[in-house]
Amino acid sequence: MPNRYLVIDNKAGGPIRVGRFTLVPFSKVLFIRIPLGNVRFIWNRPGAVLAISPDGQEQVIRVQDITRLIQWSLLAIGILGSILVWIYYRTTERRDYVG
Amino acid sequence: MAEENKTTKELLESADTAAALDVLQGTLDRFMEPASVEAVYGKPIKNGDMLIIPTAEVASFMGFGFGSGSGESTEGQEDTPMSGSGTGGGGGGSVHSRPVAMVIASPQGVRVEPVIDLTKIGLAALTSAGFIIATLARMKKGPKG
Repeated sequence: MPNRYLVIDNKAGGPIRVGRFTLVPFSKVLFIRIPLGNVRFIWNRPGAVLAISPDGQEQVIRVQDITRLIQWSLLAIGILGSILVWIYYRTTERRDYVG
Repeated sequence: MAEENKTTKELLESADTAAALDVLQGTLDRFMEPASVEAVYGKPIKNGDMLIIPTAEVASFMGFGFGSGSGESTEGQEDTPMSGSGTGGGGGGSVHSRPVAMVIASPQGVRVEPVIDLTKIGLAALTSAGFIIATLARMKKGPKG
């Protein structure tokens, strides 16, 4: 992995036995290497958990980062709100000028 | 004698380089640890008939560099020129980790409970409100001039 400049990978961990279930954790890894100055960046986050029941049924449970989701949503609301305010004032200004 | 000295110096330099490379290799190996699944999923915690697995997001950043050089000076000593060489390097990095969710496995089934960071959400809300208020203030002020 360190010999490549950009790696986006899904990694599976070892199975964990919990009572009747077997859990297999998965993580999402982003690896960036900048050759200038030997700079490396790793971003690793949980992706999902595969739960296997004794009868062989498999269930994929996604691990969502709710905090990040809310953060991005609020940022989007802020930007969208600013644009709407700008559009509103621009249109009322133009209407006043024409009137 | 000069030949012997040079060999000793070369040996010392190579030993220094080998030690530096060992340190670098160790640092690189430790830097790659956050890329493993084990870095994201913590050790399972048993609570009664439940098993809790904490999960976290890990971000790691590292940069390093090294170099070497040598020189010779004959200034004022034409018969016995002086020479010298050196190597050096440096680096830095940081590892940041943040809890994301808890995987809870019980006899009833497996579920994921999110970890919500209210401070981060509050800061994001304030930033968004700041965006809108700043735009409002600027538009109410009217066009420049």
